[in-house]
Amino acid sequence: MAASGNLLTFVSADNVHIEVERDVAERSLLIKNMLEDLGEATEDIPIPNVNEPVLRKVIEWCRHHKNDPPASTEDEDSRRKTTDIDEWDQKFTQVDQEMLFEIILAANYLDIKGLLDVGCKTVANMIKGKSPEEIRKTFNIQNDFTPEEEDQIRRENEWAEDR
Amino acid sequence: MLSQFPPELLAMVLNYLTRTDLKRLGEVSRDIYSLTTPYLYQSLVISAARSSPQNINGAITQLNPAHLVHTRDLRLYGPYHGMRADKTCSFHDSSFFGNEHPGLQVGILSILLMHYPNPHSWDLGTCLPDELVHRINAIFQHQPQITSISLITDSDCKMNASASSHLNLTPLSILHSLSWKGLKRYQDFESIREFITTHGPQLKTLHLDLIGWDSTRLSWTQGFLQHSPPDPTTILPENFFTQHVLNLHPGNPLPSLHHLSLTQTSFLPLPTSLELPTTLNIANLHSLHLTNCPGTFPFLRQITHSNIPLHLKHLEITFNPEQLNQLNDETQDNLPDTIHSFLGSFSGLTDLYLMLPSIAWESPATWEGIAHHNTTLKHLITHRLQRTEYGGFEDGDLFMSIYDQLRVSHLPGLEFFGVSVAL
Repeated sequence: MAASGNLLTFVSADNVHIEVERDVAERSLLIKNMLEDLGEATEDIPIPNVNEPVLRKVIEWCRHHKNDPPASTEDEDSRRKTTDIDEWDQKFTQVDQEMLFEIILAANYLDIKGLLDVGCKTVANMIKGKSPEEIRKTFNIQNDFTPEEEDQIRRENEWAEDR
Repeated sequence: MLSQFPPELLAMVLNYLTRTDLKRLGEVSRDIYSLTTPYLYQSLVISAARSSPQNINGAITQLNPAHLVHTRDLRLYGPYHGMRADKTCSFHDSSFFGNEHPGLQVGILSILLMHYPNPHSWDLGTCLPDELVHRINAIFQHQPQITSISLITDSDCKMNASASSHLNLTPLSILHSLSWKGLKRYQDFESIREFITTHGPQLKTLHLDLIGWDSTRLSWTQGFLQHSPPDPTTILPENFFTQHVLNLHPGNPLPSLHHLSLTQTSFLPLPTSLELPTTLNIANLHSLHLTNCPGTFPFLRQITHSNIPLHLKHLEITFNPEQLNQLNDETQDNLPDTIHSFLGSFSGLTDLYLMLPSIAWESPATWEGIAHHNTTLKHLITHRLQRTEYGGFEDGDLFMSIYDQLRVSHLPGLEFFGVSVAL
């Protein structure tokens, strides 16, 4: 299936063809740069690292955010640490952990900074304000410290605990 | 899922966490601990609440020195109790010196500094004891990569009274930010003078707090006379700071200086030529903070009259006559006009903080000066100091004045304003 006019065709890793509007696809800097290099894309565009369900989620995000202003580089400088996420993105990231992880990897591979930030903030919010035991439960992690090690680590890092 | 994260993505996630979150995350499992430790130790901040000053010693003793290899920024916040001559400073151990405010122990601090192999910035927000100076000098010799340093010294502390050591900053050949609070002794100023002479051209930020100009001048003079060979031709400088420490000359010793903050530093007597504004790189400053500096207004008038083009974004002027013995009525009379012409001589301020006596706020000139920056101001703080019947100063009300001001003038970018109110 060849793309026509403003429609492009992505081919996912599991070989599913998905049609995407060009302005939506260009939220990905990887795709945008590729299209600029190619001029007109007439071929299907393979996305070899991303499976269909993940690719559909990523396209859903890009479609919702297609009119966002370009990300400013100034924020990076001021090292803003806010993890506020807008309402639509919060709903969007209510997925299981495996999917969230895949979305973050896809956003990184496709170079979609806004989506990558939302993904990382979501993971950070799953950690923030929790005790080690609560974090273990959230991510299903086994505690492999001995009680002695646990005690020592807690003492060494005592300085970092808010009092 | 967490331990599967590629390192660069994990770094992005960890960037959003507070120090405490990072610490707790590290306690989850061995894998995660080894991932989070380098981030947790990047900036080591040890602070002690006033109520439990021993925490700071305890925390340092318990640190694992192996993790300090990751540390770039070191900040210590001790129970620092100001420059009081009647107490030993908070550095010294209570059990030994009978100090009611026990603080950081010298031995513990030097262990920390010795195991801290890769420093970029030091913020020693607790008084620096004289016993440590030679060790710090040794560290400076071996750590020329330090770019930012912040020190507090207390020469009024009984323990430091007979001290003669001299902090040598000259090995820090790429230092660009220097902050020193409490410098008073002749040797302290010699450290600054030597540093400016050798590395002045790279200095971007300079913050000096002399605590009290008059007592500092006395202390400097004593030290100067002791260190100078007996010679009848020795002339004491009228202003040791501008004439001896800054070593005023027609050149520009601080061409990269962008942020200048001076507290209790006198500009008087003001040289008639433009040596002082040139030496302090006034034309290129982004931020200027002057706190209770004798001669602030003559200095501002000189800058205005010289027509030096200014590029200031942040301006902070604090002038509390109670803190200044030398204030005469002449400077106060000219105050609103001085502020008016200074603020009117350039554009583009985003942050403005003015803490001034009532006379400044009773004149429309001051408000007109502020209004000159209406289109760019983001943060505006106005503070009025009002004379009490006992001759002191207290906070005066400015609420109605600023209310009127905000009604008549349009400040499109204003994000924050602060105003003093009388209780």
